[in-house]
Amino acid sequence: MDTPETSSNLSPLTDVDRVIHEPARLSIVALLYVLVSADFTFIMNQTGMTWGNLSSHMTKLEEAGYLEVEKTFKGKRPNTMLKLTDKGRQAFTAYRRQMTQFFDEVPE
Amino acid sequence: MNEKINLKELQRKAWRSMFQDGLWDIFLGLLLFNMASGTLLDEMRISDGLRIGIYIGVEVLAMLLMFLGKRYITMPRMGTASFGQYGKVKRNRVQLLLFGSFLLGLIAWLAFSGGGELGVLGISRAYVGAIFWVVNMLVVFGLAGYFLDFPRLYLIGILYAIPIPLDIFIRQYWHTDAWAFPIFAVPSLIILGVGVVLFIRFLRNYPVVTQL
Repeated sequence: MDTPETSSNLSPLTDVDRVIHEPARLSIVALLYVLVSADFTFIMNQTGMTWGNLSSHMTKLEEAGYLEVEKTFKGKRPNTMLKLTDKGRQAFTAYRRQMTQFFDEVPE
Repeated sequence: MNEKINLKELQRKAWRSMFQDGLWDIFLGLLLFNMASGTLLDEMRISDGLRIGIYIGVEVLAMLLMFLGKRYITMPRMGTASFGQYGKVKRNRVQLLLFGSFLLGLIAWLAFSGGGELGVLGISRAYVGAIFWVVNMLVVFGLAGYFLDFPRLYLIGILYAIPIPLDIFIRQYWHTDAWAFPIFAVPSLIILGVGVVLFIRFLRNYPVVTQL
């Protein structure tokens, strides 16, 4: 039988940032964390996502305030530049810390 | 510790993807092929001015091809990314390396061009020049490959280093310049071949994407 103490040990996992925790979004955020910025095509090629998939995750990250999206034109072609906001960087750092801490504490 | 390594690997993989289009290989192959065609031009009865003009023209054309290829063919397919300080450090190191190599090359050309022997050492100027060329090519391409994380540059460095000493050796011992063209052309065609294969593979793997 679970005790309240056991449940509280799981709280780092239940409190995890669900916007970042989703694997596809995690790969987008992790990639943008190590870059200054990248365009939509670059992220799509690096993550192996489809156009629609990346587009929907990009919208969710933008709505959470983690992603800055700048739409411009390169000649006649539309170009969408993506960049993590400070809030996004902080959220990813906190997520890393939280996950590392959680798994470090799990016994072998 | 693990996630640190993975983030670094992610950054490294993204950086290395910039060299997978084969355009740098095609560019460097064309530059070496220009040296090969230079050996044919040497045999033609044309003025030095025209020869140098053709040589520089082909170099400019190769540069233009690479620039336009990157801008209009590979960038729209691969996308662009800014690597910030990580990319800046790499580019600065290579720029410094190329500048140093150019300066040393110029000094060496002034010192070792022309015939005869080096008074102090009693060895042929051509031999010293060839040794300098080999060391310069291996060091420059080796360090550039290391700094840019672009391992094919190691092989390209070896292929650039071989032709000049081999040409001098054959001229010296077999007294013929008949091999000059293939000596330069074969390594350049190997580099070009690799570049063309990579370029075709790139075009197949990366279709043009219309962005949002």
